[in-house]
Amino acid sequence: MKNILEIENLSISTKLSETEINIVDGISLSVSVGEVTGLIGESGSGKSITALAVMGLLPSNLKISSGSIKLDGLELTSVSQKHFHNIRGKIAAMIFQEPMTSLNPVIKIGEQIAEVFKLHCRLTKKDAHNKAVEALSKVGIGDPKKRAEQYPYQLSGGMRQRVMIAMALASEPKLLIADEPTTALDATVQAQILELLHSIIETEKEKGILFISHNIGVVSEIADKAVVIYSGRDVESGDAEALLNMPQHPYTEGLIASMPKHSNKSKRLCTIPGQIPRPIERLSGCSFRNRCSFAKEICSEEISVQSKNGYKLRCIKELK
Amino acid sequence: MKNNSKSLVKLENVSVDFSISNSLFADGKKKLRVVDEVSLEIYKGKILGLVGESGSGKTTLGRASIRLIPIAAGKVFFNGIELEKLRKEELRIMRRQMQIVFQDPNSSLDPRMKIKDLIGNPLLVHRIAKNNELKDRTAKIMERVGLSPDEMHKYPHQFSGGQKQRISIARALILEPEYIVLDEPVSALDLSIQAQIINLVLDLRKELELTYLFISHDIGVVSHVSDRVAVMYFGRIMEIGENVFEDPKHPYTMMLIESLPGKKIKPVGKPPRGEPPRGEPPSIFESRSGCVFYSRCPIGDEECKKIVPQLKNGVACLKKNGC
Repeated sequence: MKNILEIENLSISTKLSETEINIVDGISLSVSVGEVTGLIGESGSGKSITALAVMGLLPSNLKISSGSIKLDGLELTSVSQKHFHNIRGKIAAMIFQEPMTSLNPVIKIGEQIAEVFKLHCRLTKKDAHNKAVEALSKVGIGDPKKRAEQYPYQLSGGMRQRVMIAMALASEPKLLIADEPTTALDATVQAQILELLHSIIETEKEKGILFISHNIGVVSEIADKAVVIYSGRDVESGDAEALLNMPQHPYTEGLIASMPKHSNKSKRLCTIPGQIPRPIERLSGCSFRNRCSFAKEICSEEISVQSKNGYKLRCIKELK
Repeated sequence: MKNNSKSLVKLENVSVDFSISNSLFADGKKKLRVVDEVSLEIYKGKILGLVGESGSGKTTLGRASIRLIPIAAGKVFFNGIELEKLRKEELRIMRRQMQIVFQDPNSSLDPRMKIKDLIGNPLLVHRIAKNNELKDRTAKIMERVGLSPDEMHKYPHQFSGGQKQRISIARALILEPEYIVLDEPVSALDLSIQAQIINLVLDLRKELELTYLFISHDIGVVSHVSDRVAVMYFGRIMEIGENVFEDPKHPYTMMLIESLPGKKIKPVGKPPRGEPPRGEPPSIFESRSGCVFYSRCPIGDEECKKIVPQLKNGVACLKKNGC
């Protein structure tokens, strides 16, 4: 299947008092057309930074130090900021966790979406407005004409996230990056937004979604492929169902085991001892080894990635 | 269960109003009912889980249960004593028995205070210990929650999120309370850290025979820790009982379970992926009549629009218990 996004060995670094620190340390992942790739990681693991790099939105103190990002065949690491301005939105668009901070509170919903059409499709004000109303109804907002005239504060959290999705889709991007899009939402509304993203990928088969979340349950609902990252590295990736049901990396295993389940009511949960290391205190070799029960001496050396039928594992355990 | 369990905290028809008279967007004086005639009991040594979506009033109910905020109507009993009737000094002493842990330790721990003061100050305020005894007790409780007493002189920003939540728990525990309200204690934490804190909370309950009100929007977490669960919606209890998630009766509880992600990897409730839930939680500014869940309910009818369902056999639904 054709890949819309291919990230190879991507490293993103920052300078901290003259020493280079890799925040993202050799991540590889891909998003295929008509599929959702779930990117799982805890806070500080580098998942959002990876997404920002794809969008060309890295903060100025971070830079891509090595690796490649291919978006629809175009090598992004060599693209100038000026050219990026043209690509952004057209090939890839992004939705963020908290819609209230991404929407402008003093501009009407319709106008904010119409702006995309004016900018990307060079439509007139009136045409752009009509397209905006159409975009709102596409993402399941009832009475879109009235809603277009309202301000963000008049909409509920779920509806605001729908507006964000409408805005991201307005320029018909091939890749949609959703960074924790349901984290700020209630359970019932979260299910609705997941359903919406699901229907987008079903109906528009030429699109792909990179879905970033710390919530394994949410990823299992929507992703075809999954990538687990820990401390700036992808530790395991492959078919989502296989990965989440039969995790092979000790970290993924530990994560899934530490999810509260009804079946083990009031029992102690399995925990991963210790804490997530900050990039500056990352260990040599496998950065998970000080929390890992399988760790051996050899883990302090560079661990090569094993690969079989599209499944990848960065561990000394043999890939099954 | 009910017969051999003594209730420690008891709420009788408790309502809480918020006044929005001076708010920027309100015209004229207005009162909002945030908690609406809630009655429930929390048994000694047990954990009552309270789930609900944002704005359902679960935090307000938790705070009302320790009289942190005034109630508009109803009664709150602690150990059989009505809190509303206590004088200020009596209430102050009673407060030792009931503590609260807040969701976000970043905003509930004063960034300019050292850990030893954050944890130890309740002992000073309640004139229980000072000087060396204060230091010893602070060290002891820090050790108990998994912090090193050597870190006593540090400030909150020097700790990770999980450790900060341990500090909050230590602060709640130092007065040796009987009852603790845990208001979304793990929501701000990463999964691997969340499990550590849940284990700590469960261990402490066993060891110190504590009683908890465990508030969370996360059904997985609540069903894991709780002995009984109450489901709240728009200020009202929809369902309460021991088997709420195994055998949901109320359509709202069913909707919540249905919308739970991750059924493919963890079997909870019924697995098939059905219709996504309808509608969104109402805003507290909306007026209410009849059943508060009516607008989103798949089985509601005209009758539900008019009659307020009362909690009967643990379920507040006209269609399910015909009250």
